[in-house]
Amino acid sequence: MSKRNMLLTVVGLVVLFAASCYVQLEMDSYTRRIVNLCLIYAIIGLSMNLTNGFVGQFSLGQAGFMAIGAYVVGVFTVPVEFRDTVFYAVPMNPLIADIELPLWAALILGGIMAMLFAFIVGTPVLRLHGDYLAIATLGFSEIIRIVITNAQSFTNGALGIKDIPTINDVRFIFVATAIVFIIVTCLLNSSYGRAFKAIREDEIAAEAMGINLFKHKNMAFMLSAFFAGIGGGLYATLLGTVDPKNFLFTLTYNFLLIIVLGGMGSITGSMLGSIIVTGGLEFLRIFDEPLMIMGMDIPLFRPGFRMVIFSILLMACVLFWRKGIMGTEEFTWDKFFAFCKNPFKYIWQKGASK
Amino acid sequence: MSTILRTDKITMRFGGVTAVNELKLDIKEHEIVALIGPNGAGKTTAFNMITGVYTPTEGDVLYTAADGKTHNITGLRPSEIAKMGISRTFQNIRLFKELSVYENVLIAKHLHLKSDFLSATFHLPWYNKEIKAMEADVESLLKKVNLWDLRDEKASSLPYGQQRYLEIARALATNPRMLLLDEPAAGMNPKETEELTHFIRRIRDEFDLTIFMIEHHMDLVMEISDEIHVLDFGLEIAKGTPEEIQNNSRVVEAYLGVDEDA
Repeated sequence: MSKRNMLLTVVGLVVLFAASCYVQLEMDSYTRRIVNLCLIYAIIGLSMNLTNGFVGQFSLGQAGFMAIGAYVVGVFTVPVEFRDTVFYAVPMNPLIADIELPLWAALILGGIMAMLFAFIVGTPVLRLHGDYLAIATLGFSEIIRIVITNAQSFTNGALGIKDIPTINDVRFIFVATAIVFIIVTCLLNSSYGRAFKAIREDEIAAEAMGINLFKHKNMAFMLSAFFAGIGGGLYATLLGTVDPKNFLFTLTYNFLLIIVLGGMGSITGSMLGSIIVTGGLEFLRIFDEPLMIMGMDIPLFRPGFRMVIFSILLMACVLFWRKGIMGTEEFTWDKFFAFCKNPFKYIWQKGASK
Repeated sequence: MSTILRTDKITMRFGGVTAVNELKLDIKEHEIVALIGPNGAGKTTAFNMITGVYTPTEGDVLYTAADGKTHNITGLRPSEIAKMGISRTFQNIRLFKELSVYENVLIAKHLHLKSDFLSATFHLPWYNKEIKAMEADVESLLKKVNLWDLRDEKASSLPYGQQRYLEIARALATNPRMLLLDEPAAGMNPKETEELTHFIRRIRDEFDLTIFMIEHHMDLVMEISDEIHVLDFGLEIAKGTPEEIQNNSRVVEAYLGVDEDA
């Protein structure tokens, strides 16, 4: 990266941080919540993109890893004096009943726990390929949820954990997101990142060139779980409550949608996908409200209609951008300037190169 | 000259089919050895057994490392074998298609990276130092195969002949002592084949390699091989110098068939 681009990136981050301060201080709580959700979903989308987009291993375990992160944050940040009221059915296990951690420590611990679980799961499962891997990881993600539901003295079971101190602070979540994105970008631009991409392109050739498939797949899987755990922890602090039903396997498809739409194998695509899916769904809420035009009630506008519109938009997206909006490309300042100078020429050349 | 690779009666069976039967090779350092035979003779299977893609049903593959120690590499993973110094190309080119020419070669340097992934992620000084050395190597390799000007192109956008050279450059980037080429001249015209002949000799001398190759272009094989092995239906039917092979009646039979009237 040239000096100029580096500087622009730093300026860009500062501007975005300023924007997050503005959102925090000036916007209503509804907007704040959507922005927060966009950022958190972007972290988890990126973590999923690491295994699915960059290493090319189709894994669907994100909801489970998120649940681990969320529960670690839930269990360890609820103030000790509230714990009796939260755990009213079965008292909390005395092993952890008196441990209270600050949020940052709980987040990192959640990430590490998710990573450890990924290591245990990944060792047998990553020998599988394609659909089989997807099914196995999906199964493990459900196992995590079932274990959480039944380990009542640790997790309060199906009752969930309430009274988690919330931080509905866009600035904090923005900084956490920025750190995750910077670390992942640096990783993917290193020799290890290139090895990941080589595995995606051709496993047999990558192995013949001396890349230890098992080690690298496992490493990517663990890192993916780590960031998903952190994302899950932030999700718990945003909601203020965790419940096993939050982490059904359908949640994973939300992130799958984000990365397929944004681009499998694109860091900036994960961010873009998250904004479009999370923000777009909220934006489309106007279709859920009854609409009167010239005294006539338009019959289609009723709760649920936005999902129809959203599905049509998704289909259009997938038709025109088969590899997602960004594909495996990234946003770069050079491309940005080329686009600003002459948008039509840029798009034309892009079309021609395909 | 000392032996670099020896196979001790390696056999590969797929169900009831014996693809390679008791193949015995003894390849000396710095030699160019060719493996020829009609289609389906088991040549690529032999390559796959040596490079670890398949584990031989019977027999051992023995490799003598640079320090003179002989290792039994049967059943090791391909990545481990690549680390020991045996690199290869593929019959149906297997490049990292969506990545650039430059990245393709740089990735092959990854196996010698000593820094762990944390120092790589944070681009710590010792990692940067290693990467600088790698990048210098990649530059000189790409210049040797005349692909330096095309380094930012996608690998899949190169013409066929250049993709072959890129694959060889990628294999060389792993710092091999032994290079296995699977039909390097496939699809090349006579002029290109001749260039390739010179190129193979040149890299052999420059990198001090031992070359073991599968090839169908007989002019190429006869010109540069020190020794030729002929396979037919998984069995070795002849071995020897190019002259011996050309005059071997069994080889002629295998390639042209037997004259019924004789």
